[in-house]
Amino acid sequence: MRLLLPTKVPDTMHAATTPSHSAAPLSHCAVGSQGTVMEIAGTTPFSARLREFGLLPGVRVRLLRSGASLVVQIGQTRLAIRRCDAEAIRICSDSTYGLATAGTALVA
Amino acid sequence: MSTLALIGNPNTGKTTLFNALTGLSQHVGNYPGVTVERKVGSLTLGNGQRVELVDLPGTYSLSAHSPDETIVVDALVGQIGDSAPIDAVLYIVDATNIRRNFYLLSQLVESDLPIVVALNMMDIAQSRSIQIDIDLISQRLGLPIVPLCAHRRSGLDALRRAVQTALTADTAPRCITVPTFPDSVQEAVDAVAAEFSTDDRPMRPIEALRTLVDTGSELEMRALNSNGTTSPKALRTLRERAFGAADPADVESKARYQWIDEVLEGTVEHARELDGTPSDRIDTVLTHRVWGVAVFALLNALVFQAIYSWSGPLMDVIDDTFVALGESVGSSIPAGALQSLVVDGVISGVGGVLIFLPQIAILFFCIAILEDCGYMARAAMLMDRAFSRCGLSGKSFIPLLSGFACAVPGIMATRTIADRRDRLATIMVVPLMSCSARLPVYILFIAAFVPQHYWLGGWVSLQGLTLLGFYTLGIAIAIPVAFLLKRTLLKGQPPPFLLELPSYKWPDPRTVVLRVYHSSRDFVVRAGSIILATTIAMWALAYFPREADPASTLHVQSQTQDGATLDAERAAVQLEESYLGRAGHWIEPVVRPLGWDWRIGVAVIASFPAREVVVATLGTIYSLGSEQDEESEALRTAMRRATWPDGRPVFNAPVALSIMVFFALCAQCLSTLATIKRETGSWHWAAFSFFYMTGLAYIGALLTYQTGMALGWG
Repeated sequence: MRLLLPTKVPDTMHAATTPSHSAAPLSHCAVGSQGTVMEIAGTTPFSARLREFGLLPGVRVRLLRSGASLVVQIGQTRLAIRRCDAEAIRICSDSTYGLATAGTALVA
Repeated sequence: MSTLALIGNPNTGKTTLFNALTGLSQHVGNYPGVTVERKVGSLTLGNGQRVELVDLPGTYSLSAHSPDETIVVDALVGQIGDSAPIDAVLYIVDATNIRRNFYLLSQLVESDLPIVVALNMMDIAQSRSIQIDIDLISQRLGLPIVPLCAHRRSGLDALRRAVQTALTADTAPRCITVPTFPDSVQEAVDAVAAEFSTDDRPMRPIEALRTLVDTGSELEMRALNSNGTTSPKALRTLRERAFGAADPADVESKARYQWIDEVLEGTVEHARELDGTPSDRIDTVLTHRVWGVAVFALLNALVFQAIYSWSGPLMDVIDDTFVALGESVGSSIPAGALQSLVVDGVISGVGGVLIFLPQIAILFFCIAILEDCGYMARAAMLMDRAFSRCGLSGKSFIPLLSGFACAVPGIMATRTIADRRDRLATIMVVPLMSCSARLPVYILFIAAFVPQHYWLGGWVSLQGLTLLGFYTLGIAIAIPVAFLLKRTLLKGQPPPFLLELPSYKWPDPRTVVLRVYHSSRDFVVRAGSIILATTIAMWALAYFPREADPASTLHVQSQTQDGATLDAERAAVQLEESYLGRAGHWIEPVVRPLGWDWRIGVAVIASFPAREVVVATLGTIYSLGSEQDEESEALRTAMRRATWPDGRPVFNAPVALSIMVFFALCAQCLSTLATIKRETGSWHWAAFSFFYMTGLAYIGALLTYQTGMALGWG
């Protein structure tokens, strides 16, 4: 039994203060990989919407689909977003193997 | 009567709950004083008290960026026209997704209204082993929480009792906790409220917070306009004082999720976090880059097949009924103007339209099922790539798809599009989708003039393909129109695309049936009002002035051997000399290049209020002007027999195609134009759609006829 609520993340993990070198845009992650949101760049209505859906630094996400549109799971919510918009979301992936190389990610 | 507002996120089963609580008592009207649509129903409580339940649009938050969200904020602060203020809120939550659903709740608790929380989809939560400590959450909030399965109608009695308690002044629940914002934000909210409050209307804190946070929203503009003394700069200063360099939206969402996590701490347990659900497994096929698109195409083909093939038996029943009705009424009323009005005008006109009811019901049935099971969001995602190429986003998909049923709900569905230019561009192309009112026109002409060829053992027919072709035509034209609009009048970047993919579920039969019922009822009401009125007017214009006495005509017919021919000739002459005939000859030069005779021309002009009127008018015109023998009762037979003065048949394949192309592209629908006016707030866009669509329709029809004749199809 695990708790639904995202575990509290220490402030040092927030990418805004300490950018992690393993953080990569969501669009570069492999399908099926999980990770922790580090940063959402920008102050647009779009980034505000993402935050309303709970996509905040420290939250765990999983990539369900890649391609022109990505599907990302946050808690029990599945969100479809465009590849170009997903650049703004930086993820610290659980496994380094989860990170596809930029080359293969761009093929899609 | 007390007013209860139903609020909640999209995909939480809100419509299902609304239907379960109100049943057939619901109707769609306008807010008094303004033309904002309002879906209401009446709900009877255990003590017999009747409550008005208002279904507000499903939204994820109150940040007033899209029209839907603005409506919810306005409704909460009692700011829509002269409507009665809301007495309490019924907030529906998806039990499988409590945390995100509580975001909007964190905003509602600031409104000071009594709130009842309905925790829906408890069955799915249980099947996914989600444990929820409802009592603890309820205790922390100070609000009643009622577990439900709206689609199984369980928990509704407890919900009615909770509503009854909430509406009683001394027992009304008040939320005992609200999100805490930094002091600077709280002060700025008070300052904004003081700044924009007027004597007749104080600005509520909930509205002040939105004005402060939602930069560039309609609420901000409205606040600045309502009060000429506050400059945008002053508001900006307040914003800076409240948030410093931070993003207001970021500060807000962090404060709210902090509150949510405090309220929910230790109350919700999942078996596994981020685990694959059956929906994810279905999605590996349905959102697959190849298989997903193939399934999408297959589903579309299936819907058209259903509309065209499965409706046959039902249509025959309606047809036979109207023929029998016409015969029995015709024989019981003495020949003359009244008989002609009832038989040629009303029965053949309105009957000619009502016969398409089965097809419209099947179309709405298919759309309702696809929407209710959760597939539509996937289709929107698959279509996003194509839509972004013409400057729109996948968000335009659902409005455009609804447009295939009717442009009016399609245009209203654009309210979920936050970007104004995108929304306008979508509104401009929604009427190009082949709505159900075009179906009667297509079916009539395809059945009469497209040969019956079958392939693949009867599964694919030339007639079905032609129908599919006309649906495709609207889409094919909409693409360049949207593309040009987004590059000229509505220039702008394609807005970001963000769409929730709800879990798949079995469609709720009651929701589907009610949707079909309401759409069918609207269609019948239209047939009985606007179409009936136009039909009678057209009949009168085609029947008068009448020189000869109808009784003497009958006398001649009964005595002369070749009475039938003589009668037909007399009828044709009378039609030509009628008001309609004279007007028709006057416009004939304009419609001649499209291959139309004056009768088609007037029928098309008369169908300005609604496209399907053309079927009724053609029915009236041709039954007046054709031979009145047993076989000519069907309109298509009458049309096949129609000739030019030199004896050539009026109708051939190019003429039929030219009429269908015209109706595929024209803007002949008063309700659509009125809805565009209402939703865009000006007649300019309504006039623009009318002129561009009519222009396209004329050119399209001209090219079709001329090409068809050049290819020798005539």
